[in-house]
Parts: sequence; C-alpha cells; structure tokens
Amino acid sequence: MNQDAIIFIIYLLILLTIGLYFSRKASKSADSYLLGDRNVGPAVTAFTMQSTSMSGFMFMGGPAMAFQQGWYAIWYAIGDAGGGIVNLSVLGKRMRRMSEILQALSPIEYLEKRYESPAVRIVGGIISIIFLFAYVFAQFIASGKALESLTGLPFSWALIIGVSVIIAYTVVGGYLAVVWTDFFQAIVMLLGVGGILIMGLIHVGGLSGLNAALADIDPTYLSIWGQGLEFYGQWGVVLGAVLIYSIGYMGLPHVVVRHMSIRSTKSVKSAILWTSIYNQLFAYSPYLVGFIGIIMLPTLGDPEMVIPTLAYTFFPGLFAAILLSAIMAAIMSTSDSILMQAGTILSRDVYHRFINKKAGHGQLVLVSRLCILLAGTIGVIVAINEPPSVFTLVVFAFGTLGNSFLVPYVCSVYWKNANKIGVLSAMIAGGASHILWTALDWQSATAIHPFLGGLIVSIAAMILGNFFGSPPSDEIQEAFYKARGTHKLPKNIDKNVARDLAPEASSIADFTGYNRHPVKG
Amino acid sequence: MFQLPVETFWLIVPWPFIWLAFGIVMYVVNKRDDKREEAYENNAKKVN
Amino acid sequence: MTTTTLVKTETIHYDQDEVKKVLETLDESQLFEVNQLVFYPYYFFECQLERKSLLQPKGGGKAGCAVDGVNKVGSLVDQSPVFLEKELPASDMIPVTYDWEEAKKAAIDFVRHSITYRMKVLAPPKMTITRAELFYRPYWIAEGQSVPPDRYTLTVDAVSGKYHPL
Repeated sequence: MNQDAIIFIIYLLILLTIGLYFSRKASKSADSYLLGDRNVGPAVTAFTMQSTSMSGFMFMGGPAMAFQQGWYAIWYAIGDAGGGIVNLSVLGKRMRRMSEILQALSPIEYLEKRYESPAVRIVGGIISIIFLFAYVFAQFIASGKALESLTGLPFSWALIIGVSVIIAYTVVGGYLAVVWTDFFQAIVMLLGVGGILIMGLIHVGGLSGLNAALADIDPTYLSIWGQGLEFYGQWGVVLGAVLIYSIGYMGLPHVVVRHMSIRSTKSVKSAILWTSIYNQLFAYSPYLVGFIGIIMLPTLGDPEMVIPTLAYTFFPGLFAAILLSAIMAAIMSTSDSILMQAGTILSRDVYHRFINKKAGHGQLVLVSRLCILLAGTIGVIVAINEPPSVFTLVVFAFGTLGNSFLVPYVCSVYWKNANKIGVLSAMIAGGASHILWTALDWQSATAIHPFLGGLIVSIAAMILGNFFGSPPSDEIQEAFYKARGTHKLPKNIDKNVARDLAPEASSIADFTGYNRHPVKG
Repeated sequence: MFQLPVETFWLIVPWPFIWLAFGIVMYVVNKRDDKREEAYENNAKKVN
Repeated sequence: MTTTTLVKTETIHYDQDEVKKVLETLDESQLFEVNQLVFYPYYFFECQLERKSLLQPKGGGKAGCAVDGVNKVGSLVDQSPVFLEKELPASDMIPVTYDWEEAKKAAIDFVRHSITYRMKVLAPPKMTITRAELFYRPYWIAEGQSVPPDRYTLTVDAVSGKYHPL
C-alpha cells in the first residue's frame, strides 16, 4: 500500500473520531440524539448544506466541462449558485405547510396524498428510484477516479474498492454524516479548491492573464457559446443550461424532502443568507480551475482529472492526498444520502405500499439493503464496461428527475385545480422527453437543451392532461388554501397559527360543531 | 474587463450580484415574519 | 347532571383571561369569548432505545412519543410529561377512535421513522415501551365576537398556548 492510500485511511479515521466525539457530546439524552442538529448555528448549517452538494460533480464533472467548453460552462455554475435560494423561496414555506396538512412523510407519499392517486405514487416511486440510482452511479465513477489517483491502482480496481467502501458505509449506518464532520469536510475542500484556484491564478497572472492565455489557445473559449462556437445563437441551449441547476432542484425528491422537515424558519433565514454568500464564492471556483487546466495541462487525457492533477502539481503530496481524501469522503456522504433516499422510497413507497402490505420493519430494512447492494453491483458492472462521464450522467439523471417532478411539486402548491391525470402526464411526458431528447440528440436538431425541452413538454402535458381528470376533492382544495396562507384571518393572528395543530383543530371542529368556514357561519 | 469579450462579461458577471441581492431580499422578508412571531411570544410572556 | 370520568389530564397553563388577553393584543379589532374547554385524547408512550452503536447515548436513552387519539398522528415529546388525575365531564371529552394496540404500533413506527430520517441510519435501534398512558389535553375554544365575515373561532392549547383556527 502506498503512502497516499494510508493518508486516506487516516483521514477517514479522523472523520470518524470527530463524528463520534461530537455526537456523544450532543447526545446526553435521547431527545437531542433524535432531534439532531437543531442547535447548530446558521453559519454551520449553511456550510454543511454546501458540503453535501459538493459531490463528485463539483470536483470532477464541473471542471471537466469547463476544460472542454471554456466560459460556456459557467452557465451551469450560474444556475447552481442560485439554485438553493430559488428552491427555498418558491417551495419553502408553502410546501412545508402542505405536507403538514397532508401528514406526508416521504416526498413520494406527499404526491400521492396531494393528487389523491396511488398511481401517482407508483409512477413517481419508479422514476425516482431509477434516476436516483443513475445519479449515484455518477458518484461511483467519481469515487473510482478519486481512488485511482490516490492509490495508483488501475481504474477498475479503484472503482470496485470505492463502491464497496460506499456500500459498506451506507449499509452499516452512515456514521460519518454528522453535521460536524460535514462541516470539517467543507472546510478542507473549500481550502483545497480555493488553494488550487489561488495558486493557479498566480501562476497564469490573475483572471486577466487567464483569459489572455485562453484567447491565445482558442479565442472561442471566452465566448458564452461554447468552444468553436458550438452553440452559437442557441438561446434554448443556454437557457436550459442555466435552468437545470437553478430550478431543477425543485424536482429532486431527496432535496425537496428537506422542506418537509424544516422545523423553524428562524435559523432558515440566516442559512439562506449564508448560502447565498458561500455559493457566490465557491460555485464558480471549480469551473475556473477547469480553465486553468486548459492552460497548464494541455496534454491531460481525462478532463475529469483536472483537480486531482492540479492538486499534485501545486501542493506537496501530503496536502494533495488530504484534499483527495476529502473529495472521496464527500462523495461517500452524498452517495449515502441518495442511496438512503432511494432505498427508503423502494421499501416504503413501493414494496410496503403495493407489494407486501404486511411486511414487518425488519423485512423493509432488508429490502432497502438488498436494493442498495444490487444497485452497487449493477453500478460496478456498467462503470467498468463503459464508463460514461460524470458530467453527462449527472446532467442526465438530474435533468430527468427535474423534468419529471418539478411541475408536480410546484403545481401542488400553486395550482389549486391540478389533478392526478395532469400530474401523471407531466411526470411521464417530462421524464420520457428528457430521456429521448438526450438519447436521440434532439438538441442539435432543435437548438434546445434537453432540460428546457423536457420542461416545456412537462408543462404542456400538465395543462392538457388536467382537462381529463376530475378536480381535487374539497379537502385538498381546502388544504391548498391553507398552505397558501390565505385565511380570512388578521395578519397578526395568521402569522402565529401553529400549523402542527391542524389535525387536532379539525377533530375539535367536528366535535364541537364549529364550522370551519367562518363566512358560512 | 478581465480580457473578456464584452458580451461574455455582461452576461456572466452580474449574476453573483443578482443572486446575492435575491438572498438578502429573502433574508429581510423572513426576518420580518420572525419579528411578528417574536412579538407574539413576548406578549404571551408578559401576560403570564 | 353530567357524567364524569376519572382520567389523566394536564395542568392548564393558560387560563381563560390569559388566552383572551393574548388574542386581543394580537387582533385589536376583535373581542374574544373564551368559555368552552374540550379535552383531546393522546396516547403517550415512553420508549427505551437499545444502544446499538457508540454514537447513541449511554444506556440507549429514552424517547417520548405522543400519538393523537383521533387522527393517529405522532409527535416527539421533549420531556416526560406530568399528568394529574381528574374527574372530567364526559361531554367535553373527544372520544378516541382506535385502541391501544394500534396506538402502540403507530408510536413505534413514528419513532423509528424519525430516527431513520434524522440520523440517516437504515436500521434504527430496537425499542421497548416502558410507559404507556392515555391522557387528555385541554383546549380552549376562543370565539371572536365581531359580525361575520370578520368573525372567526380559534382553538387554543391550554398547556402550550399554541392555537389554530377552527
């Protein structure tokens, strides 16, 4: 075993120690153990959110895109830099209220209850499982590449080891994913990428020097239309590239689930502010590092290795190994969340709901574990035989999920009459058109990005399909008004309503005979 | 600026500021809501 | 004559006048009448968690869970609540809609779900129920006194002071 591999193992041990120390300190009682990170300040929360989104994509896919396309790649970064804020502002409070009223625990169950249709749950469940796994496959490939450069092993071996570590870690329990370890990780990675960026910029003579050098190689690197002006004048492509990460988050089940578990808006407001600051500082850095790669690594064979290669160029082996270990650990933590979400959807929303209603708890855990194991095996086989690029795979999986679920989630709280037929059409047509658009390369024919194409089809299908369904029941319509916050109540009273009392209030109203509509009474 | 073509500069560089401004606006909006909540809690305490 | 039943309930922290005062400061245009008290059933369970890994508190720790006796909605309870036994008029008590067995199942399911989601662990620890009670929480009915359509009615939790429109 070489020195860098040892550093990686030591790094994982340090993470484990930090996780253990802080969780034991925090878990004086079962309550704080259950309620977890409630007492962490907003700056740490935001930093942590940052680190969970810093996955294989950010360190491998983003720089690779920049390396190949030049400034055009920044469109993706722009979307990413604003995605978190857009997501919180559009869905945030309304979705939280709605899921409270509907008493939905998982993002797919939420759709079933809002649209009053088990078919929505089964279609949604299947789409989300398949594409969450595709999303995780990208992380698997990234882990193989990170371990390849850390250990010097051939890619296929590195991949098998990387995936085994991720699967074992997820099945055993995800103990590294404690707020404080995420925080520690975020600092190591931001310092690392920030360090590479600063060293690189000094080397090429600042941003102006960087651009001048890019122009010397190929002036079209500086255009917003891609290298060789590949997408010249194609606003449909540019718009899709921005939209995918700015609004696409609203269609990801594992991200949307956060709205459902927000406890208080008080720390959220500062977290929004911190996130918007961090994002402006760091969402663009990996892409800029990719530009530096164009100049400094003209002979690089695999564009996704820009960051690992530059790390070893600028830093002593030790620091580079620590940075790569952090990237690997981040990949593990991200994969763990997604695998957990996919496993839970499969066992609760599909297996328990439709296949075996009497399944006990132990059986459900077993089903999720088997499913995760199976996903790992398929992932390894596919990745060894024909590894797609991390960037392509992430954009594909992210785009399909976004096109399938964005419209259903947004309509669930913004369109009162949205019904099940509309939503089923939107999910199926949106997802399918994204898949076809990508697979058959309709982008070149139409000059429209697959995400934008899928979005348009999905919206159209929602509107058309809605004509064929019956309007939502009175309860759902009432829930809709409540989630929108348009009671006939004075503002001061309305602001402080304890939404979690909704079920009690409705039973008390039934019991006492008070009508729920003050106007009618 | 920064040796970038004019088009690229004006289409790219404003974005971080737009997002930042958006984040600040959302912060202010949420803060106003929280103040109302606090006012309620304080009232409740006084009455006690 | 109203029949009364001996049940477990909680101490009222917010009495009629306090509720009236708070609501009237919030909505200065409205007078409230707070006369009626209804009692809402909850099943309370205390679970002992088995210590499965180093991350969990020593001895496994306890978790409290209350399940709404009508709608079967679970919630985590921070501290072990104190109940007092009292004769309550049966006409003010909302009847439970399901039995202990179902309540127990719902509570365990809820605690498990909370652990799985919050801690990202696939297999939450084993738990045994160490305490189980059925208690009734008092809720005030606060009636606004303006003319419709401005009139509205709220229900106020007499223990926590939280409220919700009816």
